[in-house]
Amino acid sequence: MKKFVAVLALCLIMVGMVAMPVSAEPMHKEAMIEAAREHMPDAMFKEYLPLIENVLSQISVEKEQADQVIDCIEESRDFFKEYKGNSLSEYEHHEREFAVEMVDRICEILGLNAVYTHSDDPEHHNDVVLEIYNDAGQKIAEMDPDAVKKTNVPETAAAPVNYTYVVLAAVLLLGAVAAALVSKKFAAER
Amino acid sequence: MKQEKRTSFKKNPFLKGFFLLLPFPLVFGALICAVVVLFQSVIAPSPYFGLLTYNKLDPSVTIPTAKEGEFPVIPYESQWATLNVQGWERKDIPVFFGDNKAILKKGAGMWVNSRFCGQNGKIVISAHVTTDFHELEVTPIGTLVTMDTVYGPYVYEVTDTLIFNYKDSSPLKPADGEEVLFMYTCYPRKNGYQFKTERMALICKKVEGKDWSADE
Repeated sequence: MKKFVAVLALCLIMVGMVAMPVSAEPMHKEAMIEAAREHMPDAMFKEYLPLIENVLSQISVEKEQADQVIDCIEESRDFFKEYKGNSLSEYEHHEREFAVEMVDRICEILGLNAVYTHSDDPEHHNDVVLEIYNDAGQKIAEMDPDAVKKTNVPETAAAPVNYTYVVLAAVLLLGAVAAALVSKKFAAER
Repeated sequence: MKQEKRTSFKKNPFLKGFFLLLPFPLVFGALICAVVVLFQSVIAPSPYFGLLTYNKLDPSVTIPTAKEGEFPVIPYESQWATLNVQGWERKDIPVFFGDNKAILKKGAGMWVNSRFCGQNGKIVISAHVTTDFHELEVTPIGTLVTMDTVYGPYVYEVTDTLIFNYKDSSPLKPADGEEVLFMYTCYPRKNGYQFKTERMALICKKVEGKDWSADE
């Protein structure tokens, strides 16, 4: 009986050791999300929770990394206390710089690369597009200022071309009529 | 003197031939322009042309596969579902994770700050009105929408429609606690290639499909 219990205990320990690295990782991610839930304003947390979870779902996180991210979130509590809205455009210049630095730091800890570019949309010329890449250089998320997408045509420059062709067709037709009239006059005077 | 010049001008056979032939290339050019205008404003926006030029899947895109009982890791820009709407001519619309311009050229896109099917939240899907979502505007309430995801099938029912301005992103805001499929495109579609300032959305509630929110 004692032998059986000892073997059973050994088996349980071995199973636990094998299973631990697999099950621990979601716990690290959950700990980071909990820290964000605790320190971020509720409206901001709810606004960005799907993005955070979608990014985290694509990467693996070690305990040390999770602890560093939690420290980073805790250090940012003063920024979160001065809640002005969910968009960076609602914050002062130095607050925006702080937020960008915080995102950069968290990305660096997690082995990610945050790239900021300007929107190529004329209506959002100075707005920032955030792209996040993993350590293999693959894009894992992209946030642009236009959450509502342009869904009219795949190529946005098509509209003015329409009118150009209409005008061109009219000019060519007028030219053809004029040339036909001149040609008719030639024929009449033969 | 002037009269002589005019007479010689009129008797010039080269000029006679030039004016006789000139209308033909001009009319031909005008016809080409008319065909281009017709194509852009009538043929290309039609769903039938969309069917002809259907986006074949990019072979370089890897479709994630799910282990049984586990929610899959879905890489950004990969296709994770196929969308079918009851009564639509357009079938098997590929749905990608992300909704940038490049993705929307290939099919429908899921906004990165929204949920996947089965996560008990808002799933925001957009596509072009000139191609994949051409028929969204005429979809009646009660229509069934199926999403065949890499981790199982989901069925939704259109329960409401919404028209909103393109600068108003509030309808897209995440809302966990109830599964809603939010499909939107440019509105109205009759404007063809013109810039549209409105968007129309179908709001669909889940009818069937596994709930992953409790398991995660």
